[in-house]
Amino acid sequence: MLLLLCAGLLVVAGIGAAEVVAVTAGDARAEQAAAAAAHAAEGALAHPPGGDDLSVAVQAARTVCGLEETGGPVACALARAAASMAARANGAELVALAVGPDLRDRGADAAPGRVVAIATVELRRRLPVLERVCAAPHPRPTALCVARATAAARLSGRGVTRVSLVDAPEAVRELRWQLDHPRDADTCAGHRLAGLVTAPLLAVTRLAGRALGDAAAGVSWLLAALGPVVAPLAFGWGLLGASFDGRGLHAGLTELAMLLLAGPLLAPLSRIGAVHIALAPFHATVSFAVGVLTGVDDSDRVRVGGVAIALVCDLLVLTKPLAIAGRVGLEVVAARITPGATVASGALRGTLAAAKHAGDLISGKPSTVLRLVGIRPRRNLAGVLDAASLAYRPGAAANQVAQMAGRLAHWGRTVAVDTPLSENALAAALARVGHAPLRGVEQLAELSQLHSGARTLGATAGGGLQPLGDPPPPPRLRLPDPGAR
Amino acid sequence: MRSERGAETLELVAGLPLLGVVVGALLQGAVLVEDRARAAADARELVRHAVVCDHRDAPPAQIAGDTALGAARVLLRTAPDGTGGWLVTATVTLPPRILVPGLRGGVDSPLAATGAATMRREPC
Repeated sequence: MLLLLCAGLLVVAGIGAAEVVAVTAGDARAEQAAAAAAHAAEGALAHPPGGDDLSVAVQAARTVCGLEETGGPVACALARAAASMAARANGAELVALAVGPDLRDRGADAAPGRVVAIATVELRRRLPVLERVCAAPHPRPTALCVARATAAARLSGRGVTRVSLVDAPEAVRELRWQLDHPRDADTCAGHRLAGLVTAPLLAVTRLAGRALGDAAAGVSWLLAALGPVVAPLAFGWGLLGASFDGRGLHAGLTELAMLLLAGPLLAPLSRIGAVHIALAPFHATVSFAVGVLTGVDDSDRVRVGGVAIALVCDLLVLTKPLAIAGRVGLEVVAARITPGATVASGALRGTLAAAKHAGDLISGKPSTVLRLVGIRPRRNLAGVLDAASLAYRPGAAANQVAQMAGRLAHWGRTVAVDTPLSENALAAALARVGHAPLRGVEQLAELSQLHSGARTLGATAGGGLQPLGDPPPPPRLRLPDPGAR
Repeated sequence: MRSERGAETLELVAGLPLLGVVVGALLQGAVLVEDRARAAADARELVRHAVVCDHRDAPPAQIAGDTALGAARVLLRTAPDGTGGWLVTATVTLPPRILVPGLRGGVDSPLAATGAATMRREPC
């Protein structure tokens, strides 16, 4: 009996051992399949059509070439197909793939084409006894029935094409680092020069941004600590920073303004391609003016406070000439009714001017930063520096143009008003434009400055300050997890 | 009443062959499993060399370092992968090591261990 029992136990142990062998063999096959898939993706990229495009594309978009994505560079699709075919040839299915970005800028011996490929595959283990359990639609535990493995490969060598299989967890760690620290794909000299200027500016702007953010957090904390006594103030502060998607409203207002300015015939004509292109500058100007006048920008985060302040500023700026002319302007009337209104108006202007300077500082405007460190460049030099700085703060281009147009209009209206054509053609041309249009341009420029301050104020209240403008949102990525089973 | 002394000894003697068969089968199974693992590892190593440009013509036994490959059947097949590349498949069939008398050996035996691995050929 004892012997029979021993023999029975040995048979059971043997069956168990066979299951264990099947499990480990499945792991080995999965590892081979993953290595083959990663290797194939790299092999396909060794001499790909548009291989450099892939590198630049994945770097510039701060992303990787994945399995789920469609489109993209040709080389991406090629790598996907090659990896998938290699996995299938080894009896596995490719479930995740990440290709790129390359690490060519990290080492002294930088060379093109060092794009890393990380592949994850799955295959059925084909267990001798427990296969019936695994044949269920949703087998549990999955790790027992399905073998999963991740492998990584990278092109190596200079002059000789060779694919190296590398440690997958290390490759994933490097890839994450690369995605957190994106390489600048633009390598032209001007761009590098702008980068050199940006680096010290960035330190200043980050400091200023942090100070403003802390100040806003302090105000919020203070309002919360004071409790219901200052509930209206707290509500107003919250409303100042609240935001909404203004793109639709902005588009609607712009179209309305276009109709008012150019007449009802414009809408059908603008559908014609050539007319549409010809109207593009006009449309851009109207779009900018609508943003300045209403505070509703073409953005998905328009601040409520920015809109409210912009409308108040419209009253202060646009009604001022009327007030001066006929003593019926809102500011003056308000000042007579409530003596504090003029003071409030001045305080608002002062606050917006301070916010505007803070915004300029955060966006890295050279003239503002230089003034902060005690250097006062000549006006012309400051203008040139500010214009050059648009290379790294393109979002400020419209404001800069408006400011320059305002200065030009002011010069044309005051200095060059009676200049004959023979002396100064520009002055004479401006004089022909007339007083009222030039005054309008000046007012738009003034509103643009105030609006810029309002936007900074709203962003500060909403905690959405960003040095050097809003960075693009990082793409949603699903990198392979070598530790997953 | 007859004495039952020695019955356990007799049972042991009678059961020993059965135990021997079971143990022998387990050992044979373990050896076959090892053969399969070796075949898979050899195939993997061979195909890795076969896809590298300047290693393609090296002798298999020298590459894998497995002396059993001398008696093995090694097959290298190449097929297009549909993306402009070539897939190389190495199939290694090792003759089984027979411990239990009466089982057939050689690469044509049903117990022969077969391993296969496929990789994409690297461009030269």
